[in-house]
Amino acid sequence: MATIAQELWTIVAVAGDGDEARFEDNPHSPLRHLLDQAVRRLYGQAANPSDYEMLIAGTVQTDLEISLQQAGLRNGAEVVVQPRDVSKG
Amino acid sequence: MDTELVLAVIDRDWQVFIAQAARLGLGAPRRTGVEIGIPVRPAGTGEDYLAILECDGYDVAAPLLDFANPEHPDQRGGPCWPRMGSAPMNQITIGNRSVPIICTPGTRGYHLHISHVHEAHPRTTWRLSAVATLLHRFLTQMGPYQGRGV
Repeated sequence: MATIAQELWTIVAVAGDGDEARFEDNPHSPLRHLLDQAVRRLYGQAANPSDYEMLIAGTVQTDLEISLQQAGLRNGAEVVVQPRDVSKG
Repeated sequence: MDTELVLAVIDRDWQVFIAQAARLGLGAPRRTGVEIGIPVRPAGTGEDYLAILECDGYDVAAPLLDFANPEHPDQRGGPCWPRMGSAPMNQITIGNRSVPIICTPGTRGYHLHISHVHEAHPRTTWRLSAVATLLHRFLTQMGPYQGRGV
C-alpha cells in the first residue's frame, strides 16, 4: 500500500526578547497549531496560548484558522510570538 | 560603568537585536558608540521618526528610549516623539532633561520613575531585542497615531 510522505516545514518562532525555538510543522496546519507549539516551546508548558499573539512580517495575525501556507509562510520562515498584554504602570 | 565593557555587552546582543528589528519591520539600526538610532514609522503613517537608544550603563541599566528629529538628530525629547493614542505615557527628568516614557517595563525611564524604581525585573526585560519588540508594540499597537509630539 502506497503512503504519501507528509511535507514538513521548519519554522523559527521568536519570543519578544529574541529567544528562538525551531520546530517542524505541516504547511497545511492552521496557524493556531503553530502558535500552540511555539508558546509551549518559548514560554513553557504551563503557558496559555490564548494569552499570546503571533506576528508575521511585523503584523499581528488575527485569523489563526488559515494554514501556514495561506499565511504566506514558507520553509524556514520566522514568526514572532509575544504576550497579548504588557504590564502598564 | 566602563565604556569598553558596555560596548562588549552591546556587541554580545547586537546580532539578535538587528534580527529582531528586521523581522518586526523596524528600520536598520545604526550604532555610534553606546548610542543606537533606529529609523521607524508608526503604523498608519508615512512619517519618518528616529528612535534613539542611549545604552550607557547597558545592561546593568536599561537603554534610555528617546526620539530625535531625523533631519537634526541633536534635537530630542517630546516634540520628536510620535503621539500614540492609547500608549501609557509619562515623563521623567534625568539630569536637567525631561524625557517622555512609555509606562511599560523595558526602558530606563520606566525603571527610574518613582512609581517603578523599587520593582525588580531581570535584565532580559531590557535586552536590546526586547526593547525592539517594545518599540514595535508602541508604534503598531498603541495607536491610533495622532501626530508628532507628546
